[in-house]
Amino acid sequence: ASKRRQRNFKRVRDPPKQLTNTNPSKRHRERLNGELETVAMLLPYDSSTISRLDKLSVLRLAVSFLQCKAHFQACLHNSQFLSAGFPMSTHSYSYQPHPPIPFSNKVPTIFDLRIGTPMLDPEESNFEEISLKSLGGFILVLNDNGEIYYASENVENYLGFHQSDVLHQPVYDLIHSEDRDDIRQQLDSNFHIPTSSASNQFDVFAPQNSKYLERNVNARFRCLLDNTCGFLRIDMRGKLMSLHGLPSSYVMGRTASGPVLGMICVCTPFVPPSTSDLASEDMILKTKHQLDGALVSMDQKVYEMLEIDETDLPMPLYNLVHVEDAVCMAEAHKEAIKNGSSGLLVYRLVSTKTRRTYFVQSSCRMFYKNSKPESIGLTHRLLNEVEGTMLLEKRSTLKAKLLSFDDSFLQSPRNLQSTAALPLPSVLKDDQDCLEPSTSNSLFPSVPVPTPTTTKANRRRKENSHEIVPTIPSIPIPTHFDMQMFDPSWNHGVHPPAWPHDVYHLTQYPPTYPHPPGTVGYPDVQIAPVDYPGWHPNDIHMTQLPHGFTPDAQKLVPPHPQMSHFTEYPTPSTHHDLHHHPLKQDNFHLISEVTNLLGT
Amino acid sequence: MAQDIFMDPWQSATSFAMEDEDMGMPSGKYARMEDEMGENKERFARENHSEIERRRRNKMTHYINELAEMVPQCASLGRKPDKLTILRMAVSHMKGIRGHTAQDETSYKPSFLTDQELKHLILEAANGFLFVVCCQTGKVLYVADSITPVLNLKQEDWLQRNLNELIHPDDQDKIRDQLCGSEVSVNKVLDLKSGSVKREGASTRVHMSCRRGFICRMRVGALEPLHRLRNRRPLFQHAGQNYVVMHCTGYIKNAPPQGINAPASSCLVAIARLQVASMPVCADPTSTNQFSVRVSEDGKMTFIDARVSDLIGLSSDQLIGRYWWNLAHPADEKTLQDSFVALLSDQPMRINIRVRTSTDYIPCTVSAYKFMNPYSEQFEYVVATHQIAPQEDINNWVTAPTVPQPQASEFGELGGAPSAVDYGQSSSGGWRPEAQGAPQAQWQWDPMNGYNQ
Repeated sequence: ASKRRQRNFKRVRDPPKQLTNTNPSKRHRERLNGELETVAMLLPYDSSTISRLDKLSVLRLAVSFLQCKAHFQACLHNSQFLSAGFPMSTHSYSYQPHPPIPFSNKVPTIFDLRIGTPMLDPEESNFEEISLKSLGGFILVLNDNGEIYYASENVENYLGFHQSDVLHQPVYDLIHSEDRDDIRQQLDSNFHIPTSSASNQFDVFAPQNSKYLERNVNARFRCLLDNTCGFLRIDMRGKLMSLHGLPSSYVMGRTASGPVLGMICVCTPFVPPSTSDLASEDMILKTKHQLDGALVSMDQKVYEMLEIDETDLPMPLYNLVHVEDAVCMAEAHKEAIKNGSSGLLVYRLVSTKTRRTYFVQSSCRMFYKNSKPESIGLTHRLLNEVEGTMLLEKRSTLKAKLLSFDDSFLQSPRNLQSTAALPLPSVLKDDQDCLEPSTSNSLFPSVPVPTPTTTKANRRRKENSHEIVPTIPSIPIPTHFDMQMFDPSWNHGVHPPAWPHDVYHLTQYPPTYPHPPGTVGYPDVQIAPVDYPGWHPNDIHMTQLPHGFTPDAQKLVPPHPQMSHFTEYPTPSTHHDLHHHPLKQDNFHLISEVTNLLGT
Repeated sequence: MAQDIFMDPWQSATSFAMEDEDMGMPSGKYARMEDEMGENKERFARENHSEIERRRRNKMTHYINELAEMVPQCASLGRKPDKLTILRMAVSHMKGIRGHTAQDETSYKPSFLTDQELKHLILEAANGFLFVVCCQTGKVLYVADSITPVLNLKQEDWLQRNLNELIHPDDQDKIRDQLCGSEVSVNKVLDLKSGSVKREGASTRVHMSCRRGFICRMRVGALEPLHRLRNRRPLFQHAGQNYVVMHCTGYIKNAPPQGINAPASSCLVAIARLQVASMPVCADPTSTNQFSVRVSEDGKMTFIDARVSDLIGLSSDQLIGRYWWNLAHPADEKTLQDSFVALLSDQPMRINIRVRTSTDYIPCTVSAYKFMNPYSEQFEYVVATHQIAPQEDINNWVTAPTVPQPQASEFGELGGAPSAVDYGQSSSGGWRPEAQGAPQAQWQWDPMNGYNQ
């Protein structure tokens, strides 16, 4: 499996040597290499990116670049095309070459209240950057063969692959084997055509039938940022669109006639990947409940959200849940009682007074005291209306995938270790304060953990930060992977029988943990010592909590400098060490603990 | 052999051609070796490696051919040029394209697509356009020209205008919520009469981050001839204007950065996407015809889905705290009450009754179940779903043989409803249609009506 993360980029580009070599075939080779160098330099990337491309990638990207440009040449800059009423005409107006705003193609994002004029922020005026940021997803264009015709640059924020890694590669290589057929079906232009209409006569390209070209599908994408299961479930919403400017040889080689249809879509993750700056920790809320669900303590934000205060406690949970979501909540509740934890659920909380609706994605987890169930912790990710509506809609159709509890996918450690630190009930909290003179402004018992990594420090940041978009200090991401190296079978139509990361090999958990010296967690909780010899991070992969154990223990695991025992993940190659893969940056569960807990 | 990976592909192409031959007759040589396992392993590695290299060469050829297809000069040659020619022609073609696009920018950031091209893709993928609004003033600072194919409006129709003028009046509160920062303003105004907190001036929505995602209705220009709009769903009308549902995603950009001399202000940067047929439904009363109610053990309604106001013109504030059967037509009240009692003793419930609206009664199918706490198995509440009958079914509706002409004012005088008096005082709108003028006006239920007195 280590192949998968190996790369064979060329480290240094030697300047073309003098063509003094007398060997004709070598001379020819050198000329070819020289041209290839020039092609590489013409690719729209900065020099550091280009220097890391191998020859195959250079050619691949050149093809991709020319295909993209040919498409826009044909449909965007061609007035003939615009007026001709081309079938599948992609748009029906011409762009204004000079926008009537004084900013050219820059976008003002500052408003000066004194003089009432928009201003440019040099740091944030690039159309591409801010549109992709606003989109909340990446744009993907597939051709009819399922090759990635275009992927927007921010694909890296979601999957960890650099744009140059994925362009002109088969999208199936990026997708879980079980989901590939779904995508294949969607690429068929006849997929949605109503069966009642005579298929021969039905013109899917007629304007009134454009709705039959719309597409909405979801698939699990390989994700290097998701450090537990390696996949990210992504909603793909868009339509089929005709790809223009392809050479006649391409068009001739196809079996089907008519325009070459590609799928263009916006890809939005169901849950943002953990290590990207899209998932900010301050979006995670925690609440603590009695066994019957009654709310006993919570983050301050939740009080504000629900418009309640401590005198309202304990508050029956089911009175706060939207009436249509009560059953869903109950299902998760039952599961937590039975198995100690639940999968993800998507539901709505309704504030008590103004009855505002909040879309929430949560997971439940049972806590034990003296080997008896004591309380239930819920961690929540607040969704916005667009996300919430989308996921709620998926809940009915996707239930088996998203919410079933016997799905091994959801039993990934990411979900199980989710409720790392719960707010204490106020009584306990006071005790806690006496025990621990904490400087943290958090409600939670904070465990003294060395915080050597920026990620961890950042996680402690509270929600009152006024940043534009919370940014996790950038973890260098391996920017270039040669996709072909991931799995030799990928590009040859042979599907690996199973993805290695698919299945979690649950390791046996030590039955009990010795009490750690000098650490403070829950008052009655045993916490694994830092240097417990038999303890490996992989041990977190458990389906059932041992009694008396709380996830606080996870916080005590020091970042391991070498991670040599990290058997779940391929040992990075030597090239790779240079890149500080996020997996190596920190113990993966430390990263996942807070930001990653809600993912599927 | 490991370093071969980094070999020049053409070089490896030739060297491996020889190696392939080598692989054809290796057995005699290796069979004599003692350490057979080790040799097999090596042989496997060699085979594997040469296989990899062969694929690599094939791939290289494939890409070169594809490249030749995409370079017009090559295509026009009429014969297939050699690799070097293809590459040289590709270089000059790419230079042409790069020179064409990378004209001005001092801060040029290399990108696969130009802004124009990306704008086009956002339009195609999401029927979306980018806009920027100042949070303090609601003024539109920027809108992309791709607004035209989406809303059939010009950039000028948006620029410098207040966002409130561009969205449906009923969505203005919602937008205000979205434009505020992540801090909560806790200036709740308590209504002393009802004990409830007024929506006006009440706490704003709690935001957990700067990300925003909301659904609102935006004004559209002429509905024809944009084919894009044919797919929109649904259309709202208000004061002679048409509105379509838009899904907006984006973020709040807070205070200007260091070094820019401007007072603190924040902006919403967002992409608005047209809700098309394939998108999830929200804020869309025409697409759903049911609402749910939570009923406590004593028969009082404790929660009502907000859709109720769209469906029957009564707000949940008006209904919460009343007996469930008060919602029914007087002639059906007993039926509903009896069903409720039966439901509590575990009989399933599905009945057809008529329910009140602000002006009238409409037929409706009520189904309900008992919701039990999964842990304690104690009764929590009854969940009741009210399915409003489609208009075409109303004529065939049969409940009771003779139905007295309903009078909406009856409701205010219901003997059994303990809170009826409160209602009469705290909210006149809807419950007392005779005080409100034309019924048409009540259907356009104004939620603020009840608060403004």
